[in-house]
Amino acid sequence: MDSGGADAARILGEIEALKATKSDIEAKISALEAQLKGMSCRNDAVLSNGSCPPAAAVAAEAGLGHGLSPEMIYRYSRQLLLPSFGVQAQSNLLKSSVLVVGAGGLGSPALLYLAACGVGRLGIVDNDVVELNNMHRQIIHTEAYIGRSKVESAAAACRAINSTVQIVEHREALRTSNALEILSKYDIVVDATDNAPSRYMISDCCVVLGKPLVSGAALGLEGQLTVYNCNGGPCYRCLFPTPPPTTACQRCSDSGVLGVVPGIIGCLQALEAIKIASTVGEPLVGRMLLFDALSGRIRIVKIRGRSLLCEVCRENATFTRQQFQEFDYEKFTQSPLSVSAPPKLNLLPEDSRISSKDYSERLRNGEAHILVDVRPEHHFRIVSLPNSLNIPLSTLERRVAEISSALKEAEGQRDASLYVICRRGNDSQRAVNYLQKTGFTSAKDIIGGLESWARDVDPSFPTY
Amino acid sequence: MACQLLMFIILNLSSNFTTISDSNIMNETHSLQNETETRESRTATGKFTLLLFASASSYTGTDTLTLPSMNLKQLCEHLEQQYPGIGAKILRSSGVCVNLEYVEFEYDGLMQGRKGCGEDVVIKGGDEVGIIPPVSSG
Repeated sequence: MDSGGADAARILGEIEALKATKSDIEAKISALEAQLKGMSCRNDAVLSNGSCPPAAAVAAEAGLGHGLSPEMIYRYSRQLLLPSFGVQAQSNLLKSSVLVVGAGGLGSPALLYLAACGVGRLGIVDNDVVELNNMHRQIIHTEAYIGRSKVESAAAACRAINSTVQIVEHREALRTSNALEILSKYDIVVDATDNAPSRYMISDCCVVLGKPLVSGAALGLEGQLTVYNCNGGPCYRCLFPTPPPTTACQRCSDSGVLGVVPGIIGCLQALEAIKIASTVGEPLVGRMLLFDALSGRIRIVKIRGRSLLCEVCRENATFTRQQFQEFDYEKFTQSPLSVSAPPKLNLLPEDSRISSKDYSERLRNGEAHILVDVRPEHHFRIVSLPNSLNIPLSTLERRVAEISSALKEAEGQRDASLYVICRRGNDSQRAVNYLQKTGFTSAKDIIGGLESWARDVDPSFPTY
Repeated sequence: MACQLLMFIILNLSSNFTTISDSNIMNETHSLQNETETRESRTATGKFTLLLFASASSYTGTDTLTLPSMNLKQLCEHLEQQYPGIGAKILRSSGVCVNLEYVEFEYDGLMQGRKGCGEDVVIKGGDEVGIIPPVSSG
């Protein structure tokens, strides 16, 4: 049995190693193919050897004034056949460049469709790595890329779909120091980020550079979509001059999101970018689309025009490149530009806190106690520690009596202790703070919550 | 024989299908009528519908409220009374639309009685008002 287990582990290890090598090789092949395409279409030296004439040359020889090669005509034939799109729109598209900021839930479908439809140059900015809990919505990535750069993964996927598109990888976080330089190289910007400071920063940068901005957002079962700074329309600040307080900034990692919802908004972002790039149709300017997945409703709200008071985009506004570079977006929105985890609170004195390791000791020693888990009920249903009592923080005030009676029940000869736990150790501190004020003076929070339990005590305990 | 059986099944299936789709259509018509009726009755009774999007919905625990007609400042005061803290945490950074059109609104200014912050907005019976906070996630 033992040797069977060891064999299985060895085979699994080998599979993993081979998979990693395979995806490495695939990425290299597609990068080289893209490089070759770029060379053969620009380099006259190659042409003089007669190996690969550029597309435009072929098109000219065949008497095609629009610059589409025979291969392109065949590849894009289904959209060339559309009377309202046709060869002129495709030709515009092929000459355009689009930058997608964020290769996550919104960026995934946006990038795939932009690559597939044939924009000329497609840039991808992101600084994250692919994680298992991304996979349900960030459909551009595959399991083989877990732990590796999202930009690398997304670029390989785009090249695999359309090797004729020039894919540009920006493996860095967008900041005021690099945003002007990166955004200025593209015609259209797609905001597919996940945090408030990035949204203000990208919008301001687009105003400074005069670029249209296709902005999408999704959370839970709702989505928003509009095009800013285009045809005299408003910018993000015109619409939302006051950033939301940190507490109202919700993250997918806290509030949850149904994978297909950002998928739908990301597809609509691709559509808006395609419309602007090909100059077909009417971009969603001055209107905001609100998508409600639960009721299956889409509302289009007429939004305001450019605000006369907007500090950045109003007529005669003097928001310069230098001011942009010096603006502190994290301070302005009171939230960080990257949203890996919420900031750690430190509300309580040390003697009101206990590490998960110490708690597990006390558990082993049979200490009389009760453990209150203050996470929301739907979190508690995912996973919880045995014998914990679920009283969500929002209901704590009216359910204090339950804690008193549970404590009485748990009391043997000694007083029972009271421990409070949550997911990451912030809400448990807020709860202990409240409980101590209402008379439970010995209440302690478990530092770092269930995440620290999983990290330091029981690695098999599920995290989410 | 087998052929007859097959015919029977097909007929049965198709008749079932018809029934199902008919009842669906009827339900839909019915609910549409209901919607029109409630809208009309709202107009008659001077009630309007408030739609709460994104964080406004999670803060209040509901996505729709039916309220008697009032002006925008009264609405903000009413919401603050029902959901303490909503002003500073949600309304301050939100946009407001009435009948699918954004209105001039600035929470702090409106509360302090500054001009041009939404003091002229009157919400009538039958109106649909939306509170639209920014969503930054993706």
